Amino acid sequence: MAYLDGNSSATLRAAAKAAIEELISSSARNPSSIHRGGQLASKFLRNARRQVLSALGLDGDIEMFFTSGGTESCNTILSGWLPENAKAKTILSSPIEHVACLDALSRLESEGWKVEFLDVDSTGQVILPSEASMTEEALSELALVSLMAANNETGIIQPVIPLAKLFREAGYQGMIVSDFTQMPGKSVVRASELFDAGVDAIALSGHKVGAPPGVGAVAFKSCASGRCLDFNPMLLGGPQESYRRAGSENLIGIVAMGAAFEEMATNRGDEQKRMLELRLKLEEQISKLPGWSVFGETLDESERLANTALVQTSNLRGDDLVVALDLAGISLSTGSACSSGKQSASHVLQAMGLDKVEARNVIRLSLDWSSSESDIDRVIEVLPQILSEGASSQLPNESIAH
Amino acid sequence: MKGRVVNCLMNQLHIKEMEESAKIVVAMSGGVDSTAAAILLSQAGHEVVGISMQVWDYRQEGNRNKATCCAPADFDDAREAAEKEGFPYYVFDFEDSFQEAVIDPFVDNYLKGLTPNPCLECNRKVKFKELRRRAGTLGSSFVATGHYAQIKKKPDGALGLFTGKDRSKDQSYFLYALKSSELPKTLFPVGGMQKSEVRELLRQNGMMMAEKPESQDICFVGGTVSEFIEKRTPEKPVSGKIVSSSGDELGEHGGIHKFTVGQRRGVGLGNLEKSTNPSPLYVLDIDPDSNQVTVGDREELKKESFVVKDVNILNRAELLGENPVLVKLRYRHSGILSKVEMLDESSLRVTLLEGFTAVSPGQAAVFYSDSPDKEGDYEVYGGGTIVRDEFGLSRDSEGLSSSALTEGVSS
Repeated sequence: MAYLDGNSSATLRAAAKAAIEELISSSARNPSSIHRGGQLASKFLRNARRQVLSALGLDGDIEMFFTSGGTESCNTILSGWLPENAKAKTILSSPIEHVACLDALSRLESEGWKVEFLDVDSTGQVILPSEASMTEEALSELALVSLMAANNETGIIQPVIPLAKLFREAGYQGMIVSDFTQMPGKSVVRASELFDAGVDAIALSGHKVGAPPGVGAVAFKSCASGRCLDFNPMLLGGPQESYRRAGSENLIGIVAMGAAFEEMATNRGDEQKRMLELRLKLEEQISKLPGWSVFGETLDESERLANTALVQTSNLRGDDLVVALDLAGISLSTGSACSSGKQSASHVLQAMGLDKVEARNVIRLSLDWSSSESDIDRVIEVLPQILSEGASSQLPNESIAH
Repeated sequence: MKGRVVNCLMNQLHIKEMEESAKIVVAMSGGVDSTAAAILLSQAGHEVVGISMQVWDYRQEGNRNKATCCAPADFDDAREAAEKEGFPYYVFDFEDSFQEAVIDPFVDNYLKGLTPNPCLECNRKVKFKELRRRAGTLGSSFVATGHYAQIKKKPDGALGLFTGKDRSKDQSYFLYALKSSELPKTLFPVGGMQKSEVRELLRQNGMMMAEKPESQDICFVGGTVSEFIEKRTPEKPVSGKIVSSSGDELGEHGGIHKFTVGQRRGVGLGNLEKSTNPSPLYVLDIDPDSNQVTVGDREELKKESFVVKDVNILNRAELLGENPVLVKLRYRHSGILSKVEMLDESSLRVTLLEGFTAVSPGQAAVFYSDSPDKEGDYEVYGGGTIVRDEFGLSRDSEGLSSSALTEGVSS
C-alpha cells in the first residue's frame, strides 16, 4: 500500500496516537469542571495549545482556540471579525480558496457583503492588486482580505506575505486572514512571518499534520499585540476557549493535534527534505510519460509545497486513474471535492484557465511525513503499466452503423 | 446452487475462453439483476470490479424520486453486495456523457414529435461504449451487465445475441445496438436464468435486497415525461392544432411532446369523439414544423412499410436473406413478420407481411429470427430507429396508450 494523499489527510503520527492513549487512560474529564478530573483535562488542553503555538513559532502576542477542524476554522476567520461599519462592505479573496472558505464567502455574499476576487495566473498564483488601485476610497470600503497560504490542489504557495505588506503599507487597517491549513511541515514559510507582515488570523487543521480528522484551530493576534477587534463567535453557549468557541472541547483530537504539531516541528527539516526529494524523483519519471506534465514545474521550489505534485494526464480521466491506482494498491486523489461519486471539475484549475475536460484529467500525488522511497518506486512502476494495459484493452474504433 | 451457477455461465460459451486473469467490469445499478450478475462472476472465480454509473444528480429532484433506480440508496445495496462478496466497488461519474448522449436527445426528440426510448441510447452510447472505454483505464476489456439476454456461439462458430431464457423478462430489445465486435467482450451472466432463480441466488447469498422491486420507469424521470420535458425547455411548449387526416381542424393541444403515434387515450377531444366519431381516435402523425397532431380511426394507423435509420446489423445474412424476420416495434411487442431491404449503409426499409401495428417514429425496430434455435432462444439480427415517414394509413388490433411505449423500459 502506497499512500500519496497527504493533502487530504496525513497519516496518524506516532506521537498523536500516544497522546490519545495517554488521555483516554487517564482520569481526565471535562476541562470546564472544577474537580480534579476537570483540572487534569484542563492541563491536557493547555499543554496541547502550547505545543501547537510553539511548533508554529508563535509567541504570547498570538492567541489560539481549538475548533472542529479546518472547515470550521475557515468559516470562523471569515465571519468572526467582520466590522459593523456601514461603509466597509467588501471582502477580497481569491477564486482558488478551499471550498470551506468559498462557500462561507457565498453565504456572506447572500447576506449583503460584496465579494471580490483577485486574479489568478496560469501557473496558479494569485496576482497582487496594483498599488494604484489601492486608493484610500477603495481601502475604506474593504472589510476583510482573505488569501490561502498554499493551495491544497496544486501545492502552489500564494503571495500572502507580499499581499499583507502591500495592504498595510497602503494604510489598510482592516482584517487580513489566511487559510494556513496545508502549510505546516511542508514549507519553509513560518506562520510568524505572516503575522509579522500584517496577517491577523490563520486557520489550522489537525489532520493535515498527522492528528485525526475532527480538530483544528484558529490562531489570531491578541489584544496584547495591539490588534483588538470585536470577535463574533460562530458557536454560542459555554465559556470555552475564552468565549471564542463554545462547547466542551474535543480533547482527544486536541491532544493529538498538539502532539502532531510538536512531532512535525521536531522532524520538520528531515521530513521536508525527504518529501521534496521523493517528489522530485516522482516528477522526473512522470514527465517521461508522453503528454503528461506537472503543475508548477516552472516555479521555484520555494513557491511550492514540498510534498505536492498535481499532474496533468494526456487524456485519461483523473477519477478513472484514481480507481485504477487504488486497484494497484496506490492511494491518491484528484484534488477536487467529491460527493456521492460525483467528481466536479476543479474550480481551482478552472480559475487557472483550464477547461472542464483538462481540469478533469488530473491526479494529485501528495506525500506525507511517512512516505518512503518504496512508495514512489511503486508508483513509478505501476503508472506505465496502467497506461499500456489501458491502451491494449480498447476495442478498435467503429462508426455507429455498419 | 454452485453447480447451477456455473452452468448458467457456461451457457455463455465465450466465457470459457476468457483469460483467467481477465478483469470484468460489472455495471451495477443496485438492482437485483446486476447484483446477481456480479456475484455470479465473482463466485465463478473471476476478478470483478463493480462500477455504478452515476448518471443523474438526484438532489436536483430533491431526492423525492422513489420509483427510479440508481439513486444513492441503490448504490448502497451494490456496495454492500461488493463488500460481502469481496470485490472492489466504485461509483463513476457519468453525468456529463449521460446528459449529452441520453437526456438532451430525449428532450429534443420529444419536442420533434418523436417518441424516443432513452434506454436504447444509454446502452448504445453510455453503458456499453463510454463505460467500456473507461473500464480500459482499469485494465478491463470485459463489460458485464444484469440484462436478460444471451450471447451464444452459433453452429457456424460466430457469436450471436439472443433473447434471454426468461422470455417474460427478455431485454434483448434494448441491446440491438451492440456491435458484433463487442459481443466477445460482453457478458450477460443472468441471461440464462429465470428471474425467480436470480432472486433465489441473492437470498442464498444472504442479500436482503433479493426482494427489491424492479424499477419500471425511465431512470431519470420521477414524475411524468411531459413534466420532465416542460421543465427542461426554456420556452413553453407550443400549443397547436389537432386535425383529422383530411385536414379538418378538430381541436387544440398543449404541446406535441404529449403525444405518441398510435396513442389512443388522452388525445384531448373527449366530447368531440363521442359526438361525431363513434370509434376512438388515434394519433396518426405528429408534425413538429406545423406543430400539428393528426388523428384518425384505427384503420388509418395501418402502415405497410416504414424506414429505419441508424441501423446496427448483427447478422447481415439472415436480416437481408430469403426468410422473413420478426420485427418488434416497441419493447412489449410480440413482433410481426416482415421483410427488410437496405436503402443505404445505415438505413433499411421494412415491409410488414402480416397484421399491422402502430409505427411510432423514435422507437426502435428490432429484428429477430422468426423461429427459435435448439435451445428455444431467438437471435437478434439487428435494429434501428423508426423514422417519421410520409404517413400512410394503418389498421391496428391493439389500442395503444402512450404509457405502453414507455412501460417496462428499464434497461
